[in-house]
Amino acid sequence: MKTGDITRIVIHLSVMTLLSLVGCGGKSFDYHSGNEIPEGPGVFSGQDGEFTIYDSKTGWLGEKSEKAEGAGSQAAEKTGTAEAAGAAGKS
Amino acid sequence: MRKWYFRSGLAVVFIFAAFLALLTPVQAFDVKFSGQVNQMLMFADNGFNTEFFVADNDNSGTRFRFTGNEKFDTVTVGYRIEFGAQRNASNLLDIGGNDDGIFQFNDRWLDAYFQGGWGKFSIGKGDGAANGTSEVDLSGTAVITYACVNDTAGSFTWTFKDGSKLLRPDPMNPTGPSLETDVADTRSDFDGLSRNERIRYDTPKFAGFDFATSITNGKAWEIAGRYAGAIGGHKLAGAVGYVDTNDRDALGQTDYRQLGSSISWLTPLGLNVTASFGYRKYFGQLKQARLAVGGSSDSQNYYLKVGWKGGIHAASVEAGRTDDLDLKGDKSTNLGVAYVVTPWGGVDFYGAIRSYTLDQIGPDPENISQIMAGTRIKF
Repeated sequence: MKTGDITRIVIHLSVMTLLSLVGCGGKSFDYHSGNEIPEGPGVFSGQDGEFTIYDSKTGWLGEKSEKAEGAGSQAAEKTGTAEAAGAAGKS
Repeated sequence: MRKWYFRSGLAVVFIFAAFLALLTPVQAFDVKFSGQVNQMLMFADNGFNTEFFVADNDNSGTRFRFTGNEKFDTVTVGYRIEFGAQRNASNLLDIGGNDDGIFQFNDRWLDAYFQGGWGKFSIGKGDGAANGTSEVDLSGTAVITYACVNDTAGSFTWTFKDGSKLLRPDPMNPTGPSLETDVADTRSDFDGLSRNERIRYDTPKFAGFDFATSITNGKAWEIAGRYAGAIGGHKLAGAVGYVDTNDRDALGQTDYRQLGSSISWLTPLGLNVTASFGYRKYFGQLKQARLAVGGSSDSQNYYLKVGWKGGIHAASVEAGRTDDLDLKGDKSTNLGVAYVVTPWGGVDFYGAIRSYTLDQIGPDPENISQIMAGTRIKF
């Protein structure tokens, strides 16, 4: 094995050795490359940073919106009914 | 050898299928969509002529992806489908290019995976085990400058003061016409086999360490070790990767073995240092072809970046050099400065200046200079 080969192997092993020595007392974190889609929020996707097209708990994206609108309408109707009943009671 | 591969592969498939058949599915399934747009302005000078470009930044090109997973008892089954969609990608720019370039729609990931306490199996197109091992970088400026310079300069042709191009013989066709030599012919960070159709295994993480191995078509294989840990406010990340291309290219154009490593240290004050080192040794037909035209049997790369990162800002200076990648005696270097600001979540603005030099046996071509500025928006 040539001297140059040995030198290169030593350099690479040194990197791992340094990491091993320093890393033994460390708390691991998930390294994320700066060349990938960044972690964290997106301009349109919000805090999640991604659009959930389907979720087994809430269904499809469209269904989720419709359910949310439906729940909002029902809540508004109940509020309106309650207010009308209250007004009738007062009068 | 073929029978061994076939029987081993069948055994793995049957064992895993039996394992999954015994599991009870738990209904926790989602499908997500995400992506980014990354566009920049570039002003470049090759010492003879100048050019202005509007281009897609190939350091982190425009792309979108679908991901999803379902959790079984102890196993998570998932997928990642990712496409690159780039018009006039920066790795294809050269002085004289005055149109909108080509549109590329690339399959980046077509990957299925199975993950549990025993690690992770992946199959399909995706990162080979050693991809990224020469490019670990905590500086915050990798969106515009990092160890791989070819993403923003690879196709710039080395040019002399009189406008003539640097021409060199093609090792795979030595009696044919000489070819123009570009930055990518003389620079490489020797970073794995990028994304490929592979089967890959990753160990679980322990104390910040994890290891991976993968094999792809042509029986090319990779093995890598990684570390990412934080101690007393300091962050340290690094990796080492080894590649054996085996029979990957039937024409013998990828017959080499390669070792790459990188390490990056971010201090609590924001000062950071990143270093990368890579080495490639050629074998067989490719080695003989290279030697026959004045090439070298091996090549190495060095890269160093020093920076500061604080709040929404990051800045860095860099220097890199690749020796003997094309012809023996080549010293292809670059210097650069970069600045990145992230004023809002998902929005980066960046700028950089880079200069490239080639010292060769014989007259040296002119330096290539770039000024770049752009934005990456995650949607």
